[in-house]
Amino acid sequence: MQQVRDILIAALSAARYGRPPKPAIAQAVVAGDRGLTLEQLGFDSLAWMEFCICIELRSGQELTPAHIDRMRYFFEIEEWLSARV
Amino acid sequence: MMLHRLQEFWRLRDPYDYIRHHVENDERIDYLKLASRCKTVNMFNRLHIDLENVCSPLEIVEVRKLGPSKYPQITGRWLRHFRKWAPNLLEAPQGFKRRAISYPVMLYQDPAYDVGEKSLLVAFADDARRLMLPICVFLQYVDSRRWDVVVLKRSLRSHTRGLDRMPMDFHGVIDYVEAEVRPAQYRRVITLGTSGGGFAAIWAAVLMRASRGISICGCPPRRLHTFLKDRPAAPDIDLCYVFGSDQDRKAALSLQELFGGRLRPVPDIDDHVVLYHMLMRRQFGEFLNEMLA
Repeated sequence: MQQVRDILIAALSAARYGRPPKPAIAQAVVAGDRGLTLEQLGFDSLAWMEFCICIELRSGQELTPAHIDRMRYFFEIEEWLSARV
Repeated sequence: MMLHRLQEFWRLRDPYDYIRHHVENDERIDYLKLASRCKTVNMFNRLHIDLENVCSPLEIVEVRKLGPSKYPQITGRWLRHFRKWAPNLLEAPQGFKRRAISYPVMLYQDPAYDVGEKSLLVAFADDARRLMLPICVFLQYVDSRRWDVVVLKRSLRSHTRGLDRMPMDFHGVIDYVEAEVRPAQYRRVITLGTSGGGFAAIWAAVLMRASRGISICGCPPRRLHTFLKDRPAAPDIDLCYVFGSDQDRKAALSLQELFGGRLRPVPDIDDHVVLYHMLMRRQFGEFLNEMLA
């Protein structure tokens, strides 16, 4: 689980072009907060592409923006990744 | 030397590194060669984002000319976005040719027109290494007969700490640009920066004694004392910000406190990436014309 969350934090930074995620978001991810929505992240389509590219680079798993389109909560990404890593 | 080459060879076996290396360093983009290394949707997205951040409109047209029989479907889908972003880009591209002064500094110039008859736009890219829009889309809204454009990409943290892979102070950045592009040969110089490039654009306008500096949703850095020392008078300055964003408004006010200038709130948009929203509403061309007038 720790490995997955490390990957997710790195991907959140990639989506912010190298800046770490806001503390409240990082805290929610580390704590596995199931109420954190994707909308709360405030990413545009370019940021989501960077997010997915980072997930693939770090994990070798091909999460795409099309997968993200079908999700609403951040924990869904975590579950998707946990099932594969 | 041998070890360095071996390390480089090993690094470029990774398709992501291969793509970025070639997009950043090749004088002429070989799209099919780069696409042949892309095995996943994300790899294609990496390739296309990097191309958008570097290519001139003419280079995008070159990709399209390859034709759908040569490139994969995902390329066709990517190219279709340009119809939405800049409807005439594929049919009537601006005549800019790209010349890498060094990777973080790209000059876009139409060689058919005399430099002395043109103006120079010095553009400071944002954190996403673009101008809130793909560079090629931004350029399509600039008249290549009247403008040369130089685009600077920042170092890891900020333009004020140098350029990508070229750490230096901001005076060093400006000296470098002035030596390479020779702004004095142009009729006039305007600087423009988006988001993380906004402060750099205003500061560059001061140092280069430009006709105008334009910040689009820029904000000042936290530590300012080194910048404010012995600074010359500020030129004509426009500080654009999103009317619906308190954060952007405060940042514009901070810049105004430092440099003076006009506040230009953009109404009816509350998202920071304001140029993209203007583009979608077909307001960007008119906005940019007004800014560069």
